[in-house]
Amino acid sequence: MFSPLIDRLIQALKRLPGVGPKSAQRMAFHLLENDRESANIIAEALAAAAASVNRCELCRNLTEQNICSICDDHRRDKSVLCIVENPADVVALEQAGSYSGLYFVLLGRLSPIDGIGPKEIGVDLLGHRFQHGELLEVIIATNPTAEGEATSHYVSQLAKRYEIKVSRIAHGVPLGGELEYLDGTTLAHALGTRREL
Amino acid sequence: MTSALYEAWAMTSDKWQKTELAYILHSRKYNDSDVILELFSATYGRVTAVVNTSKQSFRYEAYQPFCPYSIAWSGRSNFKKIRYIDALSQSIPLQAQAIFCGMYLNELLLRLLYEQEPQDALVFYYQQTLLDFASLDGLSLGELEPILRRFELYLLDELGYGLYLSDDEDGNVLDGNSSYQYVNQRGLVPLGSYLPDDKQLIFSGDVFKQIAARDFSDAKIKFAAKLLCRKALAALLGGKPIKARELFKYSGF
Repeated sequence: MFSPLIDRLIQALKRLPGVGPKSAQRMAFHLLENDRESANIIAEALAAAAASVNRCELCRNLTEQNICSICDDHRRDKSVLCIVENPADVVALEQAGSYSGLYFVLLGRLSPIDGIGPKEIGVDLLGHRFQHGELLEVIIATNPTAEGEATSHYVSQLAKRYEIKVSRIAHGVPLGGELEYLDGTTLAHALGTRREL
Repeated sequence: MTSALYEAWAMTSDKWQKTELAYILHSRKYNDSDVILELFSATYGRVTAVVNTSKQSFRYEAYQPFCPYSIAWSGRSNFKKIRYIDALSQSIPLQAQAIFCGMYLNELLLRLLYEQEPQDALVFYYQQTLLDFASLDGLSLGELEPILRRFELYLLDELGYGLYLSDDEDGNVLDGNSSYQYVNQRGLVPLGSYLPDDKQLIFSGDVFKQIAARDFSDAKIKFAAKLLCRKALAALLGGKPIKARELFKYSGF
């Protein structure tokens, strides 16, 4: 139905998350019919990013430099390390604006059935960081799933070997949320980890 | 649809099977809206099913392992479609090392169970094992290991590969002071009549008797049971080891 180049573009756009055949077709026609300039800008930005963006040597976050801007920032507190699953989690924490330490991105979570073990989440690099860094505290911010908890426990065991203080971010009632709509597990957890006022 | 309404409706429907107690052994995202669940259910054993999380009724479920669910599915092929899913209670609260043990059990079941082969006794034994893990306070491996060994031995029994440890391969009663070697598919072979291929698996008759009685109070018995289970399971798992074992690196397992 489509000429080979248009078909190739649609197939390429379909690879993006959240984009099905209809959306891909719409995007392709929009770029080709109305917005050739944007098409060129996207193509150039994609090619440049795909060619030069790599992983930060210290925290494994995405960057085109050897060391990312967060690890390289001398104003940040180098004695605290926050461990997250994905680069998107770093963005979320940065946007929250209340953390000024460093990060380490695991690029996944322990999931043996999927073939993801300690080696795959960069435990070697993390161990090296614990051993040679000036860390006083490690904050584990993996997701509150079974796999996230397993990852959290594994990393905490590793950090304790180097006598570093380990903490876990709290889970519970979201701000502005209502108790009656909360699921039982979260509520039980929130009750279990209540704090004195 | 409320649970009671659903039950009433499901009774009259022949298209979907009735709701079923099932545990999620593993879940993975297939695309933006679909999640593939590897289920372990009582009547149907291991079942693979897909759930469309864009539907209102499925949106807020967490699809976590170690949580009992009431599930109904439809479909004739091996790949089922979830029609109803509801957590029966909260997740069994596994802490620290116990999560690793739970993940180990799930990987073991996923690798060893055949699809859609009834395993009702095993589901309840699995549930009890998880509850046993959760009930421990200290969570030291000394306490977790016997529970794991009992599950492994039970699993081998249920799969039809149970270890026969009360007599030797010729049917003679074990002599407590003599040494025997465990050989896969043969059982216990008295030392001397067989050239040992694996010196680690030579123990006295007393050790094997205690393993048969599931008495793991002694550290030596615990160690022997670990090697024995590992050998018996390795024969079923083929060349690919259980990945979850890597989690125990700092636990001295």
